[in-house]
Amino acid sequence: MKKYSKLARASILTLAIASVGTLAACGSDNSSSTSDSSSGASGEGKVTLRFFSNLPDRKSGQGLAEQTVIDNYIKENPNVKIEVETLAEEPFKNKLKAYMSSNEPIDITMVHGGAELNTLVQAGYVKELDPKEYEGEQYNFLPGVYKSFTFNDKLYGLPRNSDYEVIYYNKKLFADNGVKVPTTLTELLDAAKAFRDKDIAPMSINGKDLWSFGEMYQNLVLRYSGNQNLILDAIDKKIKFADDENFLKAAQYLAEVRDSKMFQDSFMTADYGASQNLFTQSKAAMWYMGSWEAGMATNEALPEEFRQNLGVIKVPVADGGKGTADDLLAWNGGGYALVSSSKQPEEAKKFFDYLMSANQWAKTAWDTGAAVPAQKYELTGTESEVQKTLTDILVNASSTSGASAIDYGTPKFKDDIQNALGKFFSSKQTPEELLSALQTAVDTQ
Amino acid sequence: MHRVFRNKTAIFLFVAPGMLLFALTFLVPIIVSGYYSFTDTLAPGTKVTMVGFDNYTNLLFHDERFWLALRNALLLGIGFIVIQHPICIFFAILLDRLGGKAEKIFRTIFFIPCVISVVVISKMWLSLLDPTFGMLNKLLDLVGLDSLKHAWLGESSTALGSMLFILIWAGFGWGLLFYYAGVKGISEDLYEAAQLDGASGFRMHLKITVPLLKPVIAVQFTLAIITALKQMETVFLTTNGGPGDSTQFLAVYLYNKAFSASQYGYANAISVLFVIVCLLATYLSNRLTRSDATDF
Amino acid sequence: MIARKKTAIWIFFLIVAAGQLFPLIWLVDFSFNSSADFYSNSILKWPSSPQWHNYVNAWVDGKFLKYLSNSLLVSVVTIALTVVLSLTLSYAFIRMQWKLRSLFYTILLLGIMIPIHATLLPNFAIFKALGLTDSYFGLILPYTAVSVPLGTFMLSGFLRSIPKELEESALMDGCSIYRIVFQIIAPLLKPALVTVIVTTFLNCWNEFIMASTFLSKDALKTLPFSVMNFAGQYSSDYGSQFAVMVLTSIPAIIIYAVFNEQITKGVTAGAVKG
Repeated sequence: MKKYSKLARASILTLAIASVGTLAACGSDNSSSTSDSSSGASGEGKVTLRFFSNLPDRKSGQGLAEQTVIDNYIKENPNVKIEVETLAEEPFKNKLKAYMSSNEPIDITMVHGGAELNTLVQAGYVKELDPKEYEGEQYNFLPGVYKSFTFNDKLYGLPRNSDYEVIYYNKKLFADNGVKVPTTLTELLDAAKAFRDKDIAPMSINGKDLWSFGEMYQNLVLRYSGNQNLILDAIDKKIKFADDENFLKAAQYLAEVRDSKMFQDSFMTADYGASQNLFTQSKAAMWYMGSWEAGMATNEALPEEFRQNLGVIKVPVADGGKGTADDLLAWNGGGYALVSSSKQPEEAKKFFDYLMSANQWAKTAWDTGAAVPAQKYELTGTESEVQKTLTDILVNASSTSGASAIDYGTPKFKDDIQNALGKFFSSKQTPEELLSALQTAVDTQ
Repeated sequence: MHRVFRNKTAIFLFVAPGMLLFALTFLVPIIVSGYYSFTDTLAPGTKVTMVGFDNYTNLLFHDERFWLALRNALLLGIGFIVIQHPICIFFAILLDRLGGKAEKIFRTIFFIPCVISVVVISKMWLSLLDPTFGMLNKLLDLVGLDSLKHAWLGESSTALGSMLFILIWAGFGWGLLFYYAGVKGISEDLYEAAQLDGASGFRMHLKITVPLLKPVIAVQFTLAIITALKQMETVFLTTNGGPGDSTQFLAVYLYNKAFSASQYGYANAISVLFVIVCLLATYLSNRLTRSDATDF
Repeated sequence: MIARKKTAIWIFFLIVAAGQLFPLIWLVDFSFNSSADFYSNSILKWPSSPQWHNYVNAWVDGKFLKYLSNSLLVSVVTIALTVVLSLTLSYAFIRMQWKLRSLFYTILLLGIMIPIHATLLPNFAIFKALGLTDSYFGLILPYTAVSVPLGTFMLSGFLRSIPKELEESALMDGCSIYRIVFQIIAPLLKPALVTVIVTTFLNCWNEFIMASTFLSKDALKTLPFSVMNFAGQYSSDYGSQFAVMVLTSIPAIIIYAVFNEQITKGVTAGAVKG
């Protein structure tokens, strides 16, 4: 099948590019199948597992997918009860830190790979996993997806999605106003100007949360330099931001974005939900976000007209830049981990393994159109157009970054770099000043 | 004095539970904070390395965000004192003059925002001040003042002012109530005597009411400073200190340092300085407004 | 002359009151609209068909009744504890004779000044060690601890103004110290006690940072937290979010309406004498 071969190519490409290419799918099934987990639990008393998640909306998107898997498990294991605690993204992160500092015995938690998980690892709050157990067809993880979950060669969590940055856009707004869907950064600025002239917010972004600025800057550096590792090297202190002109070019473009008012007026106070609402209510022409929002196309809580006009594009290329449209800023950010202080580690692991099975989370998330999994999934033929485009973007990627720059350093670095970008966007700072602020953030991490 | 007032058992029973609870929630945590403030730990439970006074020297000499947070608190406190309190006093006097049923009705209405939860207030004002869809900008459009439109909470130049406005809106009722109580305590005879001397209206109040309100003003002055310093929830829920630190406050800063930036040791140093600053500010404002009627 | 002046004040107040309440009217108005209406051009918008289901969402998915009863329970117990502790503390500080009383009094009053956010994290660890997180007491105790210093301060001020004769004659009659405090002094302090009750109520009714840090069991959560939670769950539905905000505000407004007179009396009495 043609579609399947595309996926195979994706796997090979990711394998070739990702720096940690340890886990090729080997096909041998060496761990228990899901049906075993129900028989294994029989005869024991009631078990209550505590599950902590950053997906409060349990009726659509990833929250629905997560809840579906949980419900499946409970159905198969009537003696197990799963208490789900959910909080929105930012409160979730804070609460997890509070749990960590008091060693709260939850069983399974959602984790953010990279800097956030690193702190949990240092506090000994999450359990080490044996990568060997997750080889094979039962899990079917794509190669190289453990990068942000691995510290000192030890694995501490499993990714739930393939995350990559794209731009969602509203086809109707583009058509009605005669604006060309941008393929270059210059066209993007032109589009911004055109929408501004019509009093429509060109692009929505969650500026209050700050992290989208970081992803955008990394993306721009990639577009200008064509080198996935350039910004990561700068964070590793192998080079300086002043050493490579592409850093400055990217910063200059950010200044143009700022000065042309590409983002919605309220962008500095908009959190995730607010920036999304603006877009889903067709009040902004584009939304700068990632593949994990694939579920918008099938979310029936959103206006019908919007869903029919939802499109997705790659981040435009820079004129004269060395990067191509197929260089993809992709990494594996969100995932799940087992908590060390769990009071029933065996039961917790049983559910964790069930959750991460390719036919549970990955299949459910894909089939409901919620996200692009980090595991091999089969196309059903009923995918939304958005899902198909997203798959194409991943499959056609000629390079992937494997890490999100803001999560590549310490949490302090993340805080500093985000703060520097926030300052830049809310003032008249020059691109040079931004670069020196970024350099300071690297030097003091 | 009766010996019952020296009854040791009674004193113990009266004092111990309250003080114990107080020690548990205030003193012990401050001591714990003090310990962590000399370390560079990422979070409780991670590796602890003693770093001496590093955190403090960094904070005091190299951290402009810390000073910015203090400056914002000072500006907010001044805003309370210069804007909110005169308005409250003015309204308290008018309310007292009004009398009758209307006095009661308006007193009740003006207090209503005070009973609304800070979560609701923050989320509501975030929507009201939205640059495109918020009520305020729509109103400005309506009266032809669209040149005055701003992304109120989203621009560095207007964010702190907008925050002050929200807090004044939310806290107006309390200030009014306290001053109103003060005004009610002023004897009617004094006004009559003043009127006989030919004083009236505004000047009469400036001469009689305001000086007599001095004890209330003194306490309110201190409370305003403390409120400004302790500002947390509203900021946290609306701007989270942004844009670009323009609404940064100590409590928000330390919360984000402890949670988002995983600089637990550093955050605890902020905590310790925070407590010291609050106590110092109270002491100073007490000295500044010292009067016989207050022993706060 | 005076009548005209009063009319002027009346009109002025009416305008200010309208301005002050307008945000709340706006909130109620948009809680009956759909999300799309929030993005319309009008300042207030009369919904063509009121979106009652916003309130159904808020009531059912916002688990309004459960959170309301949690809030009530936590508030009532906190108030009771605060009243008893503040009463005994202020009595011991003002009337009783012992060596360290002024030192202890000063230390306790520092509690008004110390920011609770500065102690939040160690607090969580301590309450956790005592096994108090994730129980009603995990909220009640810190809320009480925060309220007691202010309560003690207010009661102390009032207590000073009460003449000692009553207690002395009660002692002659052979009353115990406990009966004096709870049966003779407490009723005299009523106006100040009401103020303590109301400020404590408003503080713990609306508090959310501790509630969201200390509680994880859904069954224990309080109303302000539900607003936060609901905003995550219904992030795309402004109408329902506003509806839950309106619902949350109603109980406090009702309680305020009922006790309104007492509050003013309490503050008036307290401020004059304190």
